[in-house]
Amino acid sequence: MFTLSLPKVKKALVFLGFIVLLSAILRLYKLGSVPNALEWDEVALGYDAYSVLKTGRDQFGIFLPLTFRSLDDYKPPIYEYLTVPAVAVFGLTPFAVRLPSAVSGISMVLLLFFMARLIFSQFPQIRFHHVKAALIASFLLAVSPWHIQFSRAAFEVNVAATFTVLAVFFFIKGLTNNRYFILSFIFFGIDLFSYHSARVVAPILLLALLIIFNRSLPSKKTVLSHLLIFNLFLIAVIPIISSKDAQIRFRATNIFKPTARYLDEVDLEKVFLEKRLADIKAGFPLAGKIFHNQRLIYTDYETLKKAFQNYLSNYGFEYLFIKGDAPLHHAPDFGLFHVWEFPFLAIGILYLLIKGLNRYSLLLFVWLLIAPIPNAVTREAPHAVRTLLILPVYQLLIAAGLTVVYTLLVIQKSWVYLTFFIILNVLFFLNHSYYLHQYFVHTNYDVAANWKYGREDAVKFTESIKDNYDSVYVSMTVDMPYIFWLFYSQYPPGLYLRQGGTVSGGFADERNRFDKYYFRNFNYREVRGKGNLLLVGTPVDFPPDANVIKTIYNPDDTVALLIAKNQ
Amino acid sequence: MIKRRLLLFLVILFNLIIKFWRLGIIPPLLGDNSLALRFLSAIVSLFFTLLIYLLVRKIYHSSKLSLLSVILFSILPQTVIEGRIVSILVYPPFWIENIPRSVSLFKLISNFFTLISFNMLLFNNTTFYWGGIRDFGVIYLSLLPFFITGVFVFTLQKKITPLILLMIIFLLISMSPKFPENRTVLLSIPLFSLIIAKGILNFWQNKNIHIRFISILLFIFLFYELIQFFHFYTIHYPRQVTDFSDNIVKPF
Repeated sequence: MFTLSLPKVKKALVFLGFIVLLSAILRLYKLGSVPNALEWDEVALGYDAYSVLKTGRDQFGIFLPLTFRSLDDYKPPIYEYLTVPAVAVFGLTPFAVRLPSAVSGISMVLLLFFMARLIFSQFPQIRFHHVKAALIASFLLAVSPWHIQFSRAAFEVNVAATFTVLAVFFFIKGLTNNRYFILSFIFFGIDLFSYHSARVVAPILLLALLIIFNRSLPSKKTVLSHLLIFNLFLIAVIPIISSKDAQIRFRATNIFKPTARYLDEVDLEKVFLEKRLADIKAGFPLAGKIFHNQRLIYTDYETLKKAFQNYLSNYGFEYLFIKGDAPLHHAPDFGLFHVWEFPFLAIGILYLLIKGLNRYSLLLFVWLLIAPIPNAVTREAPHAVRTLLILPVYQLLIAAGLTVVYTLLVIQKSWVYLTFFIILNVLFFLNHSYYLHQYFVHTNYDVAANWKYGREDAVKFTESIKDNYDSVYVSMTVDMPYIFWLFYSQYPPGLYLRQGGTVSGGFADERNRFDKYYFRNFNYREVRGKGNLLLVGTPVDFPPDANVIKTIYNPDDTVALLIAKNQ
Repeated sequence: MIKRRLLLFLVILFNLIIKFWRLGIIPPLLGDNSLALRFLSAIVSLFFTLLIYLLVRKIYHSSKLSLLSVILFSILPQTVIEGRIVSILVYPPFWIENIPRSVSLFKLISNFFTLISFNMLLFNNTTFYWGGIRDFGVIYLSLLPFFITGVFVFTLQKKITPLILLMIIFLLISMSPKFPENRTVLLSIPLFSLIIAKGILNFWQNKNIHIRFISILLFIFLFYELIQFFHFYTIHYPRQVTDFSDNIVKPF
C-alpha cells in the first residue's frame, strides 16, 4: 500500500470535496421538479412512508412491515423506512420522496473514492497514481448519466447499489483489518432488504468474494461466524421471497410463463402447439414432444437462448452508449454513459486482463458478470434498473483506462500530454453539456407523460370542487390512480385505514376507494345523467360530446387527463 | 497421422451428407430452377472447407488447429445454410449487390456495432431473405467461451491477423447497401472457426480438472445445440421459406 505525504493527502481531499459537491449539485438541484412528476412507484413509496410516519402502518394497515405490498409488487422495505425521516422533515413532497435516493447517490460518489483507492493500489502502473485514479473514478460516477438518472428519482435500486458498494468496500478493508469483515457481512445482509435484484446479486457476490480472496481471509471460525450473521438476514428474507404473495412479482416479470414470456407477442402455448403441429406434419411427432414440450420449459432451448440473450443484451454498445432502454431510465436521446468513455472502457478492460490480472481485477470482472444475472430470467431486457448494481464497476474500468493512458502520456513531451488533456476536456464538456441540456430541459418536455404528468393538477382540481358532487370516479386508464390521489391530496393515513385502506395494488383492481373517490372504469354514456358525478380519465374514456370541464395537457401539448361532469 | 487422416475423412463424409442430403427439398426450391446452381454451391462449399484445412495447416503449422477449424466450420449455421442454397461463392451477381458503398460515419459505426453485437453473434441472423435462419446467430452459444479465449490467446501471442481480417470484413459489410442483409458474412465464418478452434485447444491443453469439466459441459451443450439447430433447419426452416417465398432473393 502506497502512503502519501500530508500535502498530497490534503490536495486529494480538496479535489474529493469538489467532486462530492458537484455530485450533490447534480443530484439535488431542482430535485422535486426535474423530472416534473412522480411516477407510480415513487408516489407509492412516498405514501407508504407517510402512512408509517403517521400510523406506524402501511397503506394496507400492516404494522411496520418487512416487505411493503405497495402496488402488489411487494417492495423491499429499506427505501420506505429511509423516506420516513425525509417526509417528517420536508412533508409529503416530491423532494422528500426522492431525497433518500439522492443522498444515497452522493454517498456512493464519496465511498467510491475510498474503495477505488484500495483497488487501484493493487495494479502495476496504476498503483503509482492510485489516488488520481480513485479521484477519476469518483468524478466519473459524479457525472454519470446512469447514476444521476437514478439518484434523481425514488428508485430503491439506487440505495441497494450504495449498500452493495459499502459491503464490498468493507470486505476489501477487512482483508487488511479483520474488524471490518463484520460490517461487510451486515451490509450484504441489509442489501437483501433493499431491492429485488440485490437478493440475487448480494449472495452470489459475497460468495465470489470469499472464493476470490480465500487466501487472505481470517480464520475459518471468524468467516463462519460472520456468515452466520449474513445467514440471519437470509433466513429472514427467505419466507418473504418464497411467500405466495411475493411470488407475484416474479410471476409478472419472468420469461417462463406463457403470458409473460413474450411481451406483446403470441401466447407461448400457441407457439409450442404450432411447432408441434409442424413436426407432426413433417412426420416427426416424437421430435415435437421432445423439442417443443411446455412441461420442459426450463430446459427448452428457445427459453435458454432468451435468458442468455437478455443477460448479454446488458453489455450492448447501443444500449449503454447511445439509446438506453425505457424512457424513464435515461435522459431523452442520450445513453447511460458519455460516448467518449467507450475507448477508455475498452483500454481499461484490456489493461486489467493483460497486465493487471489479479484478485482485485478478477473481483471487478466477476462483479461485472454477476450484476445482470437477475435480468436474464426477467422480461424487458436490457434493463437499467435491474442491473444498476453493476455500478460503479464501469467507472472503475474507465478510470483504469484513463489512468493507463495518462501514465503513457505523462512521460512524453508536455505538449503531447497537454494536447490529449485539452481534447479530452473539450470532448467531456461538449458531451456532458449536451447531456445536461437533454436531462434538465428535455426530460420535462419529451417524457413528461412517461413520468405521469398531470396527476398532481388533477388531484388539486378534484379536491377543490369535490364537495359539489356526490362522487368522483377516476378511470383505471389513469394508471394506478388511487395512489396518486392519496399522495397528492395527502389524505390522512389514519382516516384512510379506518375507511378500509387499500384493498389491492393490482393494476386493474377496481375496488379501491376513499372519501368521495372511486377508482374504477366507467362508460360515460352509461353514467351520463345518473346522479351528480365528477369523472376523471384519459381521452379514451370520453366521447367527443362529453361535458369536459377541465383538460390537463402534457408539456408537449398532448392531452394528459380530462375531467368531466356526467350531467 | 492415421488418426488425423481418418478424422479428416470423417469431416469430409459429414460435409458430403450435410451438403447433398435432400438438397432440392431442404430448403424447398422456389420454382427458379436453381437445383444445378445449388449443386454447384455444395461442391464449392466442400472445396472451400478443404481449402480452409490446407490454409490453416500451412499458416499455423498445426494439424490439430486446422482439423478443429474445419470441424467447426462444417457445423456452424451459416456454413450449413449457405452450402445448401445458391451461395455468394457461385453466383457473382450477389457480389455486385453487396459491393461496399460510402456511408455516413454514424451509419458505419452503428452498423459495425450491430455486427459485433452479441445479438448477431449468438441469437439472430438478419439475412433471412438472403438465405439465413433468423433464430440462430453466427456461432452457437456454447462456443462463446472458446471464442473469447481464442481472441484473448491470439492477442497475447500477437498473432492478430485473423482478428484484423475479421474487422475488415465487418467494416466492408457495414458499408453494404443491403445492410443488415448481407451474405458476405459467410467469408467471416472461417475466421470465427479458426479463433474458436484456438480457444478450444487452449482450454483443452489446460490440465486443470475444473477447466476440463467446464470444457466437457460446453461440448455436451454444443451437441444439444447442434441437435436443436438441425431439428429447426430440417423441419421448421423449410416452412418459413415457403411462407415468405415471395420476398426471398432468387436464385435460392
